[in-house]
Amino acid sequence: VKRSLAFGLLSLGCTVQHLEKNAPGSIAVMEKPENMKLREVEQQTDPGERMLQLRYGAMAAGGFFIPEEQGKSQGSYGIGPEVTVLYGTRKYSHDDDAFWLMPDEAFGGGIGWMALLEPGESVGPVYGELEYASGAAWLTGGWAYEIDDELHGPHVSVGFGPLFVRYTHLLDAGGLLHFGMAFKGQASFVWNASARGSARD
Amino acid sequence: MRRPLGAELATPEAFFALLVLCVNDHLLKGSGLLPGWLTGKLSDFAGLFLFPVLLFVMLSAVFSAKRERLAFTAAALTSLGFTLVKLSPSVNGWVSGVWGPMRLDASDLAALPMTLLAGLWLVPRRESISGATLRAVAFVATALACAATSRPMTVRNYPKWQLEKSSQHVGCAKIDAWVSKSGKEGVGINLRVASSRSDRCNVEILSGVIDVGGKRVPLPRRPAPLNPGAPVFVYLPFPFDNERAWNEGRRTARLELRVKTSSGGGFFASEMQHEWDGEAHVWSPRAPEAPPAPDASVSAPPDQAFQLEPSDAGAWE
Repeated sequence: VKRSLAFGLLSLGCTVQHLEKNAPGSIAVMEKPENMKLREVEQQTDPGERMLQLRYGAMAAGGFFIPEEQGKSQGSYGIGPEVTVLYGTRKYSHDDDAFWLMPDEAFGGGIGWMALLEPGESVGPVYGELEYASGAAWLTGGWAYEIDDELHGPHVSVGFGPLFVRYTHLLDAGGLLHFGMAFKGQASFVWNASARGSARD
Repeated sequence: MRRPLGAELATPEAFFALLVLCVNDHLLKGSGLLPGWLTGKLSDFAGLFLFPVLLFVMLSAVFSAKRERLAFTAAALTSLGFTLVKLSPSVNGWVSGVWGPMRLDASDLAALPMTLLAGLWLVPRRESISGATLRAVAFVATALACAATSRPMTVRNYPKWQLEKSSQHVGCAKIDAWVSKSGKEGVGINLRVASSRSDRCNVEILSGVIDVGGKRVPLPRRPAPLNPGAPVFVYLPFPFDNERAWNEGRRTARLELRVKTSSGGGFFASEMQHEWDGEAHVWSPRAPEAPPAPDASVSAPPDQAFQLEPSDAGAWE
């Protein structure tokens, strides 16, 4: 069951829902149109976007377990589901052709579970973390908790695109240094940014 | 024996990749036949197979290293270049400026294994299906296909105010009106004012107001009097918080202009609708057409164009 659950949240696809909020684009209303005789509405300028993203899927990583007590480090891997909610901004609206919607800047938080963890006989640590992303680069920091052995400790990761390096230190046990890849789908709710300089997004 | 140069490009596999690239870039994208995300990925997959092959042929012409080494160098260079273009805004900006628009999209890296496939495919010797002429044609066609990226196909679509009634006679003047600007900051109306008689007609727009769902937005300043023999064009800006109006669901309005002419006065009035086709994007497979060239005989005199100071921008209420 544990192993089945570990793969239960796989990438189910990427969806984008456009919301009506703040839909009009930007114009310089006080300036004359460039062509006074053109019987069309001038193209509006892009006000940028705001979005709420739910990212879900599996994190697969491998590396080393480094015990706190003097001992040799050993090979390790950790695979499990992760769900993240992010609020993101984009200076310019996204391209609908792009399969993956990436905000210019985003922050949020998530929870995850290293369900398949080697070495270890327990159910694997769960973790909660805050995330900040800038372009393709992202950084998370949080806390991990191993239920069976009641171990806990800091949990940080740095990533670029789908690739990441993660370090989890379970106090009194040791550290897990993993290099891995995220397999995540996303559901995005996107709306236009408000008028430039306005805080009403 | 030295292999004929370019033999790898004159193979069924390379021809197939070339066909996919060309058909997808220049026919399928924007046609609506396939979803946008699929046409976006097809070119990446075909291109990341074809480009290492092209690069291999070019490297083979210059270096006499082992075939395996050249094949995997071509694949590695392609992977590195593609990754930088897709992830680094500065590299993407530079390449887009030289090569044509390329999307900064990390998900395109899903196609990277195609470079490895191309490297593996290049290692064994491939039988060319053609002679020297066709190999040269294949080389040129591949180089052109790799260089000629398709242009962006989508533009953002925004709600626009529209007038229901665009042409009316007031006194001796014939007034045509249309919305020329519509956005978060308000609405701009263009007028084409002409005399409906054979002689000149003095026209003065005394006031203007747009009633947006019960909230009145006045014209901040009266335009200068007009004396059209030939048609003249006037711009009337109505600055207001149109974004708020949209968010509050105020999507109908009424435009009223009080007009005085040398043969009597009256109103130009029209209902307005704030319309959106419901989609955030529209396909634009063709480049937008250039606006028609100005017609010198009917151009607006600069002093009759409506100009306002930024401080004239009115508040919502």
